[in-house]
Amino acid sequence: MDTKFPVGLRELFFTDGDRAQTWIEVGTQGVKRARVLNAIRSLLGLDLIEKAQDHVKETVKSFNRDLKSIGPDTEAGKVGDRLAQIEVEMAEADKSKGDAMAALSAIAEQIQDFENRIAEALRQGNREELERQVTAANNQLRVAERTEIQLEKQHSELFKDTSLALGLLAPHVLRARGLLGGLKERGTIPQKFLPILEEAVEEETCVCGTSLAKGTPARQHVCDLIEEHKKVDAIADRLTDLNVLSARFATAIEAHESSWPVRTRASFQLVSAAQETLRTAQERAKELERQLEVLPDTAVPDLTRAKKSAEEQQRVQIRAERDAEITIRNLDRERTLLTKKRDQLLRSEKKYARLRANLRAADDIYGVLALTFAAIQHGKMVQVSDEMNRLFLGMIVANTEQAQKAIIQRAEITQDYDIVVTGPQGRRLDPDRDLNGASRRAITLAFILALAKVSGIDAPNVIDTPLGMTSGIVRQSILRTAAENSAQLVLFLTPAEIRDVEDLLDEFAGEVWTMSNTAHYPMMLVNEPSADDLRVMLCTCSHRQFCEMCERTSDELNNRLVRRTA
Amino acid sequence: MSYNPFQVLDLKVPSNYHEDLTRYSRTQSVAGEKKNPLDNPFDRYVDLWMLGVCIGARERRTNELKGAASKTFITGVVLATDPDRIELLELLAIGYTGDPYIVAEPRKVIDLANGLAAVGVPMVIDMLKGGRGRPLWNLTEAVIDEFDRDLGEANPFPKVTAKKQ
Repeated sequence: MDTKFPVGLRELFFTDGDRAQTWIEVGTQGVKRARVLNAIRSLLGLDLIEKAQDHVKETVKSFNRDLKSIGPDTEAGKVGDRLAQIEVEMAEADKSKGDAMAALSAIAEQIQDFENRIAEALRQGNREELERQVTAANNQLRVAERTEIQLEKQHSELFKDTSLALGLLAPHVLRARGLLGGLKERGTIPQKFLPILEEAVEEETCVCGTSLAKGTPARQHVCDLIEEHKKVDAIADRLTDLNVLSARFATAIEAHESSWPVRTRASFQLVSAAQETLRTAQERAKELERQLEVLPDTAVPDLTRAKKSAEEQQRVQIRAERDAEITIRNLDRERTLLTKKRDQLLRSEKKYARLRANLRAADDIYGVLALTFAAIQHGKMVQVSDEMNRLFLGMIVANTEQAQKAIIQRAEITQDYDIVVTGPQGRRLDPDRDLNGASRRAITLAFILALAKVSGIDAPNVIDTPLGMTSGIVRQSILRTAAENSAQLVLFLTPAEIRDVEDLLDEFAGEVWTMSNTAHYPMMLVNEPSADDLRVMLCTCSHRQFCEMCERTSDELNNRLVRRTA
Repeated sequence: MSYNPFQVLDLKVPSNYHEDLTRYSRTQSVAGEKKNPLDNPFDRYVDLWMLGVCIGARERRTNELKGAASKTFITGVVLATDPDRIELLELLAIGYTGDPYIVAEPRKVIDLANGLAAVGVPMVIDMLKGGRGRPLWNLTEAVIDEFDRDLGEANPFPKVTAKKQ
């Protein structure tokens, strides 16, 4: 493999469709640029020039050290020594920057992976959130239980309420009221005439002037009245009270809203509502408990913590990259100044003539190498950029005839190695934000295919799930473009990705095999695999067939598929 | 001290229903555990007795139980906790007998109440046991029916359906 692929390009020939998307969209701007730059550098295969540049740098470094040996205590010696040291520090800073960028790239993928796993876990259910919900549901359940018990007790209290007895005894109470009213009407109650009558008998003259002399019928009548009043005297007060009370009770009997049946029905409805609330709370708590039981231990909090930790690491590495960048700039500035000073010093004394000539020669050689490298690199970058643009526009089926109207008009790699997309009126689109999932996948695949094509390396492109998040004509054109622009294309497609591209597979596929995972039985596979362990089974079914080994639950009803018999 | 002419008089129920007083009231706890209102709708024995008196009065029937046929469960002192009951018993006696002066003879009032309870308490027990729900809901339904009997077709209230447990 090492002989077939440049190391930096290897991952481009073996592509995971899902990861390919993150390859272009995950990470800081610096990381993305570095990815593009490294891919293009790897593609150039100009190791020889790079090594030559390193050799020249080493030579310059030794020339600078020579300055010190010629005149250790001279200013030229000190400058030379510092310049040699700057090269060492520059190499260290370069390495630090490279390490930081490599770490950033890895961390960015790590964060993306955590986000995917968190999203997947959340799709299944957040255990922590579910546990919170269970606790809340149990609290609600306890409140509902207490409320129900309290309301039932209140309801039972109605059976000792006066309104119950009053309602049931109404006929008797009302009759009693009538009888007591009669006593009042007759003046029997309240007891106020007795003293007057007794005084009249004693004086033998009634208040009306009638004689109450002994033996007269009038006196006898008044005496009879006195006897009757005396008889009720002991209970007169009570009967008077009862008369007043019976009036109050009679009013209560007529008050419909406070009657026992009305209050009892209202209470009953409250209890029924509380029971319903309790039932709902019980069902909710039970359902949540059930969900919690079957929820896999997805550890969302752990993943979130891990993501936060990765983000902290990301910040550390961003700082490290910036620090290294600042160091490089400072060293570069110092080197420029010292080189200028060194050259002045060398010119001032004859003993440095030879060394000056050597340094000038080395600088010239380095300049030639750098310019050559940049020219080749830029040239290749332009080629990759143009090829990427062509493939990308083909994949997304951009309207090239009426380019002015197209939403996406061009994709290119800038001088700074940024992949950018241009819209109408030259408006720059952010691939991360302004492109949909299918277009982001398309631009990544276009870049990869362009690199492979420009590299001239005759190797197969192996792409796993290249058509995810795509559909319809874009899906078809991505597949067609990939097939037409690869030396050899090996695709791993899911049944969902195959939909709508069957004809293209008929047209381009030389060999088609079907891979089935034993773990998918019985949820997806119809027939129990002969193997007990987890493995991938291979059969020769094409994208239009299924057999006993690979038959999926919906295959029988899928009119695009036919059963293949052995 | 509030008025209570019945405090030394015995409140009685038919002997063979005395156990039901315990069963359907929350006066006594069971093994230290508080009784629940669903199965023990009455707070005290006297509450069940009073409802029995009311039901008996609606039936306009008394049953004079003698000797061992009746059992005292408490004295009338308990009535002081709810003065409305003392007054209602007196008004009931006046209305039932047509004699206001019956209140002068508390024993007669209580005898009448005990006689009515002798008719009403068994009916209350039947209400508690009847139906397929818990006693509280059986009783609620039966007593509301008792009121509805008076209202007949004019009943403006929705029918209460006892909870089935």
